[in-house]
Parts: sequence; C-alpha cells; structure tokens
Amino acid sequence: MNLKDNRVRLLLNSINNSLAQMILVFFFYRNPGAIDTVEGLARWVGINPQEVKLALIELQQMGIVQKIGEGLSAVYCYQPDDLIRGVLDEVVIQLAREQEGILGPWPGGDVFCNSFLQESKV
Amino acid sequence: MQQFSTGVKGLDIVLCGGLRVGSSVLIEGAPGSGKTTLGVQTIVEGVKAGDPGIILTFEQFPDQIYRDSARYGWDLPTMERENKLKVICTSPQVINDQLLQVSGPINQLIKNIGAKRILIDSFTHFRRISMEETNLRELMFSLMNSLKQRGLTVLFTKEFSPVEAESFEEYLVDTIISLTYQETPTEGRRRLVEVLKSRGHEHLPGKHSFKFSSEGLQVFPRHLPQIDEINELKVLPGVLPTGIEGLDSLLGGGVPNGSNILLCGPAGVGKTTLSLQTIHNALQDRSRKAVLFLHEEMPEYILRRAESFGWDFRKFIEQGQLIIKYEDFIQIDIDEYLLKLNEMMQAVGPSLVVVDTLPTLMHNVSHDIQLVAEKIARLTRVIKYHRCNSLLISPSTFGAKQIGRFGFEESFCDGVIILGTVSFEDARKRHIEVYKLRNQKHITGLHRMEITEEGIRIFYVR
Repeated sequence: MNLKDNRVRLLLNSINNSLAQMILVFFFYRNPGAIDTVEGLARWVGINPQEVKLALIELQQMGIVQKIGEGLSAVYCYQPDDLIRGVLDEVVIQLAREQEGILGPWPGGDVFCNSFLQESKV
Repeated sequence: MQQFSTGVKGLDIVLCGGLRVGSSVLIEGAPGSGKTTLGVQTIVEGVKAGDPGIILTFEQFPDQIYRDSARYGWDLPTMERENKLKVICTSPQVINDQLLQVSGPINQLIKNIGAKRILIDSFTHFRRISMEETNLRELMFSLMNSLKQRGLTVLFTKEFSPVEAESFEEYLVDTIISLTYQETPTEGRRRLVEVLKSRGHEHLPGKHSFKFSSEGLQVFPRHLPQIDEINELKVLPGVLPTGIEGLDSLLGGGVPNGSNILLCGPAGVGKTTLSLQTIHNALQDRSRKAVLFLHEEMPEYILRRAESFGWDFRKFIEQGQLIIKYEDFIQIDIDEYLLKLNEMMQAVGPSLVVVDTLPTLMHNVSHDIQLVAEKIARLTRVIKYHRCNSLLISPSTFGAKQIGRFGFEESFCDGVIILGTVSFEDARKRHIEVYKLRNQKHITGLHRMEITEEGIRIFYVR
C-alpha cells in the first residue's frame, strides 16, 4: 500500500473519521454486487438514510462508489479503481485477521486505520 | 420444447426432464424450507452448463449466500470473478425502476454476462412497494415479461403464507414448486417437495421427500417412471435354489426367478438364519451376487452368526459377491431408500436381495397404512424390474391371525413362507409352510424344521 499517495491517505482518513463511510466501504467490499438507492443501502447497513447519503457523496468523490441516475431513484454501486481496490483489499484482510475472521461492522477499524496513518507519518 | 436441469437430483425426474427454458418459476415455502438453496442450485447448475446467471437478493446478504453455498461446494465468488454469475443485493424498488430502463445497470449486467437465468429472492419483498394486490400483480407481470423478453428463465422465491389460500403469483407463473417441512407422527419433521403446476410439460404428481445433501438439495421421487410406467413384467424362467435340504422340494425346485418372497414368523423361529443360509448357498455360484439390507442387527453380529454355522460371508464380501448395507431404521427415508435401491440394483445386478426386516424398513411411514402399502408395492416392483429374487422378512406376532406384521404385505409378494413353532412335550418344535407361491407347483402344509449346527433342515421327503 502506497501510504504517501494522497488518495490513499484521504481514503484512510475518511473512513477513519466517519463510521457511516467505514461501514459502507466494508458493506460494498463484502457485497460487491450491491446496487441500491440511499434508502435501500440505509436498510442494508442499518444506518439513518441522511447519514448514508452524506457518506455516499464522500465515497463517490473518492472513487469508491458510482452514482447512477438522479433524485430519489439514483442508485449507487461499488466501482473502485485498481489503486483503491488494492488499498481496500489490504485494509479488509488485515481487519479480518484482527477480528479473527469475523467481518463484523468494524469494531477496532479506527485503530487499524490510525496505525496506517501513524506509519505514514514516520 | 427445450428443458434444462435444475441440478437437483430427483427433481428433474419429478419435472419430467427439468424446467422449461425461458419460463417463469415460483418456488414457495415456509422459512427454512430450502427455497433459496433450490434457486441458487438451479442458477449454479446453469453456470456449470454454460448459462450465466444472476441472483437478486432483497434481504439476505450476498456474503451469507456465498457462505451457505460453499457448504455445497459452490464457489460463487469464483463464478463472479469469471463473469458467469452476479449476486446483487438491492431493493425491489430498484428492480422495478431499473428493469424498465434498457440502459440501467441491472440490464447492462444481464447483457454483459449474457445471463440466461435469474433468481429473485424473494418476490414477497415487493410488498414494500405496494400492499395492493392489483398493483403487485401488474408489477410481477411486467417484471416477468421484461426478463422473459431478454430470454431469461425467471425463478421467484416466495414466502409461504398460511393465510393465503392461493395467490396471484401462482396464476402468472408457468411452474410452481412448493416446499414444505411437515410434522409426521413417526419421523418428526419431513421435508417434502411438490410440483403444483408445470405449463407445457408433464410432472409427477404428489409430494416427494427431499433432503439437504452435501451437494445441495436431493429429491427422492415417489415414482420411478422407468419402472412405474411398465404395465407388465415378464415371468422369468428358472429358479434360484435355496440349497436348503427339503425346502427346495417344498418350493418345487427353488424360488422362481424374479420372485419376491415374504418370510414370516415370530421372533427366534429362524427367518434370518434361513435367509443367510440361502445367501450362502446361492453364492456358491461365483457368478451370483446378493445384497443384504439390515435394519435391526448390525453387520458384525450377522457375520458372526453366519460364521457360527460355518458360512464365510467375509469371503463373499471380499470377492465382491455380497454387499451388506446397514441403515438404522429411525434414519430411513423410504423414498430415498427406494431410489438408492434402484440405483444399486442397476449397478450391482444381484440375484438375491434380503431385507431384514420389512416392518423396520417401513417404520417411518408406519403411521399411514396406505403409505406402507404403496412403499411395499414399489419395493417389490423395483426388485422384480431388475429380475432379482428377494426374501422380505416380516416378523409376525405370537398368536396373531394375520400373516405378516401389517396384514397385507403378502398380497404384494409372489410367495409366502411361514415359519412357526408348536409346543410339544415341554419343548417347542419348529415348522415351515409354503403358504403361497405364484407360477410354480409347490407342496403345501406344515413341515418339521430344525436349526442344526449346519443350518436349517426341513423334514420333507418327496
């Protein structure tokens, strides 16, 4: 993982600072075929639709998800490029190890991202 | 008409060849009845056959589907990587909106992977869009047509509602497969599948049992078309001698080939010994094979009992002449048993089959006497179809007026041999009677019988 890359740092920072983003990233990673509206995704991840909406805007800007359509019927799907996909692979694999294979809704995920950020500062 | 396999062993037989290409199929059942597994199995079978598929899930997370599928050896993530499958979690509203848009992402996916089958799990979730039956019917109709127009076979799952006697979905689809998990007095719960409708092709009526095997669902049809559709089975020439002194004379030379013989009598009278001796004698001819089904005694006890008479059954097993199958009668699903028996008969081609005992084999259906009759009739038919002889042991109760345990099994058999005892000068003396034997002259009446160190002896001199 290239921690000096701005996009990677932005991604780690972002998912470290927002639980909704973290959960959504994890959800899309585990279910790459997901295609749903804000309302639908809110139901899948069990988070308030308003928070999901804000998180999706961020994830879209980072190139993790793609938005198709407009308005209430707009749908989002997982479309990371190779760089982001590679980062997510490492993050999720590491987390899975730490969580003894239980890919739950990221307890301890923030600690993990912080450790990456600390490493990058060094 | 083109049909394709569901991948479910036995279900294709019930569907008389499988599902129709481009049709719509409703899989309905209660929670835990196996709807999703059946749907996924049909999609996976398509992928294996070169027909890519799509699974739309509205409630179950794809990674749960991946995990559950892995139990059956279906590697869905690899199929997805190879672009042969897509598992999409979404909402009914999205499907409703997207499928009407030709360039929408779902339609693009269908086009990109060249999908031929789609599973919608489940249609019940469309009630999130509307509770109005007219709206839902309209919605399902357009959804089905939209997918069929693209050449897809559409599989819908639907949660069974005990309140709804019948639902509009059943009118719209071409095929209905109903899965139930019924309580029975003897078996606990029993999984059953029934095809309620199959437009454009035949299906076998009735409820058929099924189970979750290591390869997915496995259905055990109540009927075996290649056997049940035969109206006449030829009477075979020749006999299979039992090799038991006196008995062959009573039988007129031996058991007529292709006969099912019911062997009755109270406990301890010698039914199993007579069967073992017949196996031992028959297998002296190296070209013959025998299968012994045990549902009470364990094989080791039977082998030792044979050894006590000097009959080396282990040698027959090593030579591939004898197969001993033990199945705990509590675990037996009779339809599964009959299907496997048929397969075994086909593969092994035995001259003799012994079932020890018939009532224990029928234990799990014994609450329904009509079902017992149906299963005994099928058992004897399968054996006869394979031109084999059988000894079916049915212990009778001391003093009972009926011949076998159920009182009607003799009518399905070609012959009945009854073993009994009488009290004589403070001792019990055994006797044997050939009560019935179709197609062969035989000696009737009671005859003295003894179990000696060498086996059974019957005192009859022509």
